Amino acid sequence: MSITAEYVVIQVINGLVIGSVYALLALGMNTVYGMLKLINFAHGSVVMVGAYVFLLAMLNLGSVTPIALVATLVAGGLVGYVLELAAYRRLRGKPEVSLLITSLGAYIFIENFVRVTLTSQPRPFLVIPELNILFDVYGITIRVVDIVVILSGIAISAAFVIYSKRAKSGIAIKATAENIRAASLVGVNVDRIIVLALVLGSVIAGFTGFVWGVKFGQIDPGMGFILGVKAFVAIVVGGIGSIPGAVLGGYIIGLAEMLSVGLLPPVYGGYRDGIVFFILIIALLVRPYGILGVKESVRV
Amino acid sequence: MTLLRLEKVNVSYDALHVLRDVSLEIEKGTIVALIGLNGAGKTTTLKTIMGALRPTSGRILLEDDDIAQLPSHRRVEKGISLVPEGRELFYTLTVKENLLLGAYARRGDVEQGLRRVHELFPILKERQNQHAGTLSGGEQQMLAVGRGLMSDPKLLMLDELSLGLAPSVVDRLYETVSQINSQGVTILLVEQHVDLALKVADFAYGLEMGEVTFRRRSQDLLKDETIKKAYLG
Amino acid sequence: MAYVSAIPALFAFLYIANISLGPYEVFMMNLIGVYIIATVSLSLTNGYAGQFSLGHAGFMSIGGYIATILSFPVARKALLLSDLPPFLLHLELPFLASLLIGGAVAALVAAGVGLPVLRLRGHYLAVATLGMMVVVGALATNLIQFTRGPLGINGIPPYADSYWIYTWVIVTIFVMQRIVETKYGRSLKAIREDELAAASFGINVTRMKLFSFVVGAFFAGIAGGLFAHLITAIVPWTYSFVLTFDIVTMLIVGGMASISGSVIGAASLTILKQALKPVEEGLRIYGIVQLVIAVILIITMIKRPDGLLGHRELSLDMVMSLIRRHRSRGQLPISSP
Repeated sequence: MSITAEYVVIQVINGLVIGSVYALLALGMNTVYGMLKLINFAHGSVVMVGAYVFLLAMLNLGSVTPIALVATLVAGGLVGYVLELAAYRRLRGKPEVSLLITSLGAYIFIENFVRVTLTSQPRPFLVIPELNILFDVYGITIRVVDIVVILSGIAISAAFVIYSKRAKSGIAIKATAENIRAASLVGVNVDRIIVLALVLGSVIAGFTGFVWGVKFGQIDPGMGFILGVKAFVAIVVGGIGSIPGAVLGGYIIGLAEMLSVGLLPPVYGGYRDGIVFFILIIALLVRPYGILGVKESVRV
Repeated sequence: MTLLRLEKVNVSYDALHVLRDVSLEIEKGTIVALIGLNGAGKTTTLKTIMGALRPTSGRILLEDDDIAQLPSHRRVEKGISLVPEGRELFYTLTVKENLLLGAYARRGDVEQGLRRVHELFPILKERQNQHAGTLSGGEQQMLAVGRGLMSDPKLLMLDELSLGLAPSVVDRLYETVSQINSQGVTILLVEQHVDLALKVADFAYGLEMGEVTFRRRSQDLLKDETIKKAYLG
Repeated sequence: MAYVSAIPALFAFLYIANISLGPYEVFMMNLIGVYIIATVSLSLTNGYAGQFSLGHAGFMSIGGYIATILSFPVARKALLLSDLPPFLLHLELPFLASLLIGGAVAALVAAGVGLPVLRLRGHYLAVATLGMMVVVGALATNLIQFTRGPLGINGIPPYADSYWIYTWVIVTIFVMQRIVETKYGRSLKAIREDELAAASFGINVTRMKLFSFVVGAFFAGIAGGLFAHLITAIVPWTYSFVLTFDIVTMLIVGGMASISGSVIGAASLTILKQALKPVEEGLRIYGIVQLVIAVILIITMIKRPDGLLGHRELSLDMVMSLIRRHRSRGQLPISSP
């Protein structure tokens, strides 16, 4: 396939689309990571839950997109809420490794819960005609959904950044993510803020499930795992403990993934996940706290 | 009138029994110092009063209210504030944001609180939009104290104010502490430099291996030769 | 080693089992053996050294594929693996050699990957090793001329019988004991508790961590090779995250730093998995087994993070005191002493 300018632009757009998904996921994971030093592996599964709930809602509650979207967001938030109360809260103060292992267990639980209650098979997602309209920009074909995804990615990220600077609870989330001890000293109800952060992040993750389904047309119960891991890579690259950094990292990973897949010979197509990890290793070796990150001990 | 009373408080870290039957009484409006060697349990005491640690037995009474089982944020609401050892600022936030966070549980007017802090530490007003991480050591300590004041506390606790600071900076800080006290805030402080502590405090409790060994007026302590030898070298 | 005397008994038992039990039961026994090797080898890095690696399945994959490619009969290679480079196409090694080379390559990869990665802290290490596993999986899927990609290789000669597997179980346990009960084991435990302190005692932290990682990877590779020759087929997702997760659960449930704990964990969870499989098949609802395993892991982490044996080994004393307590209480104790 010849590499034309159009081709590169299409790959860039795809990169921005996927980057938006990673950025939104990274946002959610970053705050929780800062607070609890926990990589919430289960975060990826919330995406999957969001996608399936949207599908179910559309099929069963009358094909009204807004209602289905609300159901998606609620479902996402609920998963986050239950995760915190049932699992993570009971491990407060335990060593990092315990949290890590538990979040892995939570991921497997959620993925298989969906498998058992819904289906194990990949499912075609709903086609929403409005989002599939193609249009032509200087000879490049773009779908409406691409624009919608990129815009919502930027919009939600921006909203979150503003929220963390202006709203009292937002500032509390930011402060707690930076230093949980100091936050409790100034009177922040840390338990409640943690729940808030998890729920917010999960709501956003649920939304990205909807976005993913619409963009890629197919969902399956296992889709969440690699997403969660890549979101963590995005945090590492963009900057641990930095909300804008998480967003930046998401877009960088997305672009890197699509551009390398697009520009390398097709035989390397299967390595797209590997490329992301390659970036992780480089980042960890060269600049462990990320581009915009706050210094924390990554090395022992 | 007693503001804070500890009655036979016992605290353990894992298997280590660090506070043994500690009983303290802090009168309203006074400045009280906790002195003792490293590891005696001074910071532990402050943390226990703040709620970062829970006692295994004993009572902690704030104006006759037993707060021993309350979580930290509720104690801030009730009027206790801790300026921790090492400051623990939010370094990625600005000076103003740090102060505003200090008022998270404030029982009164935030603007008024800001004005008060700016009066005591004018430099904080000057640098209000700078990130806390860019301040000098002395300024960071001022910010930490200012943040502690923002919740309009009845009791302000200071842990090792002098850590890492030049003597002239420390002297001025303690002058401001006296000022804060004269505004009606009761102060409980832990300070390595016993001479500093005794200069500013009204009373001092001695802590040794988790036990209270004495309670004396600081002017009496300053005159006592044996104490002077033990703590002041 | 006190258990040397038990070895002939073990083999006698295996012999009797093989001739009297049905093929399914024998398969179960062998499967347990493979999981024991995988779990015990994981306990070296994750349990004793405290380096939480999530890439174990990746090492098993390497060992599995290499052992398979090397031991595959030349006659069938021409049909199934015709795209192999000539020197492999005409090569057929004895089983032991294939296994050993598989393990060795896994160990080499561990050495290469471990050097940069083991300096990282907790979760960074975990994600990096996870990444390694993903990369191995990607290689397995895409290096079609070696692995047949997603089609996988089937008809692998069933060399892995009870004797082979349990010989390796004994070797693995023996090596583990030799490491754990000597100064190496103590160094690893020191590293787990406090790396800086360990370094100040003169322990070469990097070398010890690498050592545990490489040894663990070697036996994982062996386990992978045995596994491939037990189920006689291999596809890239045999060695996926789910496998790592299962082994981690076995390790946690049994006790992270306990050889006997790993054995018990591996055995009990393998039996549980196989027992639940028919339920899945019967109801045509897939995912029940993993769901149960996940719940077990989460509950263990919350209620009893040390697992059954924690840092201790099963000993005669322990068993005796359990029996004594049972007798004196008249009811089964819920937790071990």
